[in-house]
Amino acid sequence: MIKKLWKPFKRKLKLYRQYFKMNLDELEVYDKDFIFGVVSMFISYAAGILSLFFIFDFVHEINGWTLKQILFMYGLNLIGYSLWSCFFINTISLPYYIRRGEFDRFLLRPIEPIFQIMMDGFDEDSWGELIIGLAVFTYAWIQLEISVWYVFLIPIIALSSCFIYAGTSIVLSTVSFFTVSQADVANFTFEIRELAQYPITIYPKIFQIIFTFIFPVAFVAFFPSAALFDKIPIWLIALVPIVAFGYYKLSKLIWNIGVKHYCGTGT
Amino acid sequence: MMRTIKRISQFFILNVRLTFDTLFTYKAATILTFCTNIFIVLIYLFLWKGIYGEQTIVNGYTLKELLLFIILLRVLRRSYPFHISKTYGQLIKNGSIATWLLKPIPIELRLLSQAIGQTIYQFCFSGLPMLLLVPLFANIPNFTFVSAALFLLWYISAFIFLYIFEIIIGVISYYTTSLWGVGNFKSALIAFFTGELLPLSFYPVALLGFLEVLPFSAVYYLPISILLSKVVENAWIIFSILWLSIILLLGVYLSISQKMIKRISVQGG
Repeated sequence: MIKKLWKPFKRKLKLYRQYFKMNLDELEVYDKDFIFGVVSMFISYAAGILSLFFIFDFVHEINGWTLKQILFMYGLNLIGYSLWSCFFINTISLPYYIRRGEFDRFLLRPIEPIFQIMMDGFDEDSWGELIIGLAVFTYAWIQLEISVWYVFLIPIIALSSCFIYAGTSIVLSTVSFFTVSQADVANFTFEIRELAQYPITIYPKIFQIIFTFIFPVAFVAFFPSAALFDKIPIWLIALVPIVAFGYYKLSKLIWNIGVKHYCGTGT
Repeated sequence: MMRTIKRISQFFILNVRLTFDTLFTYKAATILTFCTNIFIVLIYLFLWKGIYGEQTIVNGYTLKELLLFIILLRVLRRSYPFHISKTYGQLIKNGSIATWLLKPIPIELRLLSQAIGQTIYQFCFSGLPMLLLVPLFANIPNFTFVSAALFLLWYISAFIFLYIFEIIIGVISYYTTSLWGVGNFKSALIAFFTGELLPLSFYPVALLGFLEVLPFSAVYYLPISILLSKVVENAWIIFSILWLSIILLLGVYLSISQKMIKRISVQGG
C-alpha cells in the first residue's frame, strides 16, 4: 500500500528537482530584474504594514481587533500565502497557456497537466514573503505574549493555508476552461489575500458564507487567530487541516471536469 | 506635412478602436472582469466600514465621504495607463519590438493609442460599474461644471505624466530584458506615493510634507478632491510640479530611449 503511494510521489519529487533547476537557470538570465523584484516586494509589504499603523493612529480597533491582533493575522496569512505563491502560483497562469495554445502540449505528456503547470514557473521571491510573514507574526506573538505551545500548530496551519489558497486558485483558474481568455479571475487570488488579512466579521453575511464554504479562506488566518484570542471555541482550529485537505481534493475534481470541457483555441 | 499628420491621426484612431474591439471580443471575460472589479471595491468598502465601526468621523471624513473617495479612486485607477510598461516589456521579451521599430509610426504613439483604447475599455467595463455602487454606499455628490472641467484637466495631465513614466519603465527593460521585477517596483512605489492603499490624508504629517514636493498626489488625491469641490491648499503649486515633472520625464525619456534601443537584445522569450 505504502509502496504504491510512494512510487508516484518519488517520481514527482524527481521531476520537481529537474524543474527547479530549470527555473533557477531562467532566474540567472534575468538576474537584474530579480533584484528589482525582491526590493519592490519589500517596499510594497512595508507600505501595506505601515498603512495599518497609519490607520490605527486614528482608530483603536477594527471590529474588536487591536492592531497587534490584526498584525498577528496579517503574519499568519502571509506565511500561508507565501508557501502557496512559491509552489502553486503558476496555477493562475492557466488562461495564458490556453490562449497561447500551450496547454495542448501539457496534455500530451504522461504526467497530470496540473502538476506540469505548477512546475512551469516558481516564484523564488516568495521566500522573501515568508520571511516578512514570519517577522510580522513573531513580532505580534511577542507583543501579545502568546504561550509557546502554539508554535507546534504553526506548521500545520501554514501548510493548511497553503492548500486552501491552492484549492482556491485551482477552482478559479478552472473557470478559464470555459471562458478561454484573459479574464483576471485567477488574479482574484491576490485580492483574496487582502481580504483574508482582516477579520471576516467586518464583511456582510453573504461574504462570510462565501469565504467560509465556497472559498474557505476564513480558515487561513481568521479562524486560527480568533480561536486563539478566545473569540470562537478553540477546537475549531482542528477543522483547519481537514478543510484544507478536503478542499484541495475537491478543487482537483473540479479541475478535471474543466479539462474535459477544454477545446483548443487554434493558436 | 498635413498629409502625414492626417495619416498618423487616422492610424491613431483606428488603433484605439482596434484595441477596444480586441478586448471586447472576449465577452465572457468582459463579464467576469466586471464582476471581479465590483467585488474588489466591495471588499475595500466593507473594510472601511469596519474601520469606522461606531465612529461617525475619522480624520475629518464622514464614512460616506470616505466611501465615495474610495470608489472614485478605484474608478480612476482603472482609467490610467498602468499596463503600458508591461506591454512595452513584453515586446522586448518576445522580440516583436523588432517589427514595431521598423514601422513608420513611432512606437510611443502606437503605444499611446493602445493605452487610450485600453483605458476606454476599462472605464466602460470596470470603472462605470463601480460608479453604480455610489448611490448604495455614499451620497451622490453634486459637482459643478467648473469642478468637472478642472477635474478633467487634472486627469488628462496625470494621464500624460503616468504614460511617460510608464514608457520610461518600459525602456528600462531594454536593460533588464525582463520587466517582472521592475514592473513590481514601479507598482509598489506608485501605490505608496499616490495613496492607493490609504487616502493620503491618513499619512503622518512628516510624510505628507515630503509628498507635497512630488507630483504623485496629483494622480488620485487632488483630482478627486477637486471633483468633490473640496478646498485644497497649494493645488496649483502641485499642478506646476506635475507639468514640470512631465517635461523633465519627457527629457529623460528622449535622451535614454535612443541609447537603450541601440543596446537591444532579444532573448527569444
